[in-house]
Amino acid sequence: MKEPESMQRRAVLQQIVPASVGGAIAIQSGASLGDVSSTVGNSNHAPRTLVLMCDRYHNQDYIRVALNRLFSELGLPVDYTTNYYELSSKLLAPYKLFIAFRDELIWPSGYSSGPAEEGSRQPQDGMENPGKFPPEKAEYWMTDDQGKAVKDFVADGNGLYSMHNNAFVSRSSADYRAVLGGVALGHPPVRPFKVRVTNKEHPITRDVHDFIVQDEQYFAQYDLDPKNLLLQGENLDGLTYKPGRRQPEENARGTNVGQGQGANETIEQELGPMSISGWAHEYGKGRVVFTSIGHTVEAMWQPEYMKIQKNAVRWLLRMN
Amino acid sequence: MGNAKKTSRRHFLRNAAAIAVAGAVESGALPASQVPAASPGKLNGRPRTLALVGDYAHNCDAIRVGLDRLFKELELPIDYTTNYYDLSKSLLEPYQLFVCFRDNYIFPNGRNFPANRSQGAAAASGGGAYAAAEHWITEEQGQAVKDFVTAGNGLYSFHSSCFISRSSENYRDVQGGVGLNHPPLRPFKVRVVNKEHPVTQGVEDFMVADEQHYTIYDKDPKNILLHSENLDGLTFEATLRDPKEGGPEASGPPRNLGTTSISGWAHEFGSGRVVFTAIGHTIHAMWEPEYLKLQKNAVKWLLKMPS
Repeated sequence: MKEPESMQRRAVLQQIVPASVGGAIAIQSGASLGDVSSTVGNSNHAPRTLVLMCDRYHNQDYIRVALNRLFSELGLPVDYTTNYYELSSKLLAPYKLFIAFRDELIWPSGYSSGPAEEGSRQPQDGMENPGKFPPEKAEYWMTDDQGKAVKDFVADGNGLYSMHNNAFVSRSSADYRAVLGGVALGHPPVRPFKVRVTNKEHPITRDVHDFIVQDEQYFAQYDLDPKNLLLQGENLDGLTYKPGRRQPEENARGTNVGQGQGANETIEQELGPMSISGWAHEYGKGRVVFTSIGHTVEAMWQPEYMKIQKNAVRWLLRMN
Repeated sequence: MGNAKKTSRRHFLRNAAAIAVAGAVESGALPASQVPAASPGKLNGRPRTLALVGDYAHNCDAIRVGLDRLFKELELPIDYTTNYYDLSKSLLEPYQLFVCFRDNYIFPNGRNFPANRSQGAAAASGGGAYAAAEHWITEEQGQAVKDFVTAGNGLYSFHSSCFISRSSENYRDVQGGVGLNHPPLRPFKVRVVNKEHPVTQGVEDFMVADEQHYTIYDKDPKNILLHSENLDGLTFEATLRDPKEGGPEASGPPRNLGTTSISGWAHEFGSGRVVFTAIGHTIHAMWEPEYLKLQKNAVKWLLKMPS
């Protein structure tokens, strides 16, 4: 499924390496592409997409599997990277669409294990000296330059498709929030909820039916015109969501990016059973889509959601 | 219609090459976090490492955090890729060390587990769950790794990478062994069985809670550096067999492999060197102080640096 493009890429890399003999630095130009290469489709004329994926809670493997199917069925090429520190105007230059599928946090000083729903524990749990264990400490990865690079990329006429927990990145970057147009507040654990199309006139939602999905129901704030909202999530059991006390690892999300979410502030507001789950808008000469579903391959491949994703990619790339 | 960005990928790459030649590279390749800000120039002449990381059961985020610390403390640069299909002779060419930290499987048809399944959830690996698995490595890729080492470079194979030998004879040839699977995460003792080797210098035996991988080592037993033993006397019953007995998925009735496993080795291969160490399912296992010491020794030995 990947040979033709891989071969091309390798041929190009082979040109780079001999050309840059004599400097380890030069070799890095080739190396930087080690994590960016096409897996699906023929790229000769088709618009190119770059996916930035993977964070502590979201394994690159399932994201790649899910998106490979999407792009394979669309007949479009897609490149993947997990190297968040490489995001730049230069990295985006060859692309028409940037898919962002990771949150805003990195954990360079380590972490113990997965999140609570896996039943995992901190190493200090139950020990006589829990205070001796340093707390997990998250940092933001996105720099101002990187936020601006994405903003400029879209303003220049390209597309941004932000998926799932990526709306958290707006917590760490005002530029990113400006182009994404919203920010995530959090989500309850994985449980079933209904996704309703609230604007059936948009090219992205044409012929898409409401559906039930078992996923993390993200609650988001949308900053731009409410008519751009496409999807609404609702817990049909009436279960509500209150962000409440932040989990320790969420403290790093505290910077105030325009909406006053303080570092250790608890959000006591009951957000109810309904959430904003998707939107689409124009930004400069470009386009932006956010859809919040995506914690599992099964959710990503929910048939109606697949339709939405296909429509979204086509709309972002201005294909018919 | 986005025409402003018609620059093709090929042009982009050529431009990158041109800039590289000019010597004014602003490289995206080098993890900024890995380069001491004060000494970017020191990169010149320093050996380079490429790590292929991440699989279904191992989130590349945790692996990166684990290895970032190792290479930062070694003051060596490291590049990462998760794109297994890119592994090739030309990909490896700029490097002196290839770190492999992923298993032999891909699941192009999907698997229905939560996104974050990565750490501490490895128990649920029954045979049926892997029905849709495919092996990613091609013999050409196995050959590329073999040739890379033969030519004088290093291979550091971590943890689940021992399973790659199940699906590639070339990879097995250079790695020198193969994985038979592991019990769930539980504590075991790691013993240094060869204290004379540069890789184990100054390393004490240690306890770790990890997946105790059971492996077969094909070469001279004197190259074995580490044994692991479950001190509670818990044994491991393997259904997987040596692939020589029936291919990558060779299996049979449970066979008791006892409490003790082969957990690490080091050997020369051609003009190059190979190390395998089995510990590595969590960041805290990767950072166990004695294990971190051992990893540092291993990287230095593989790169033929003074220890």
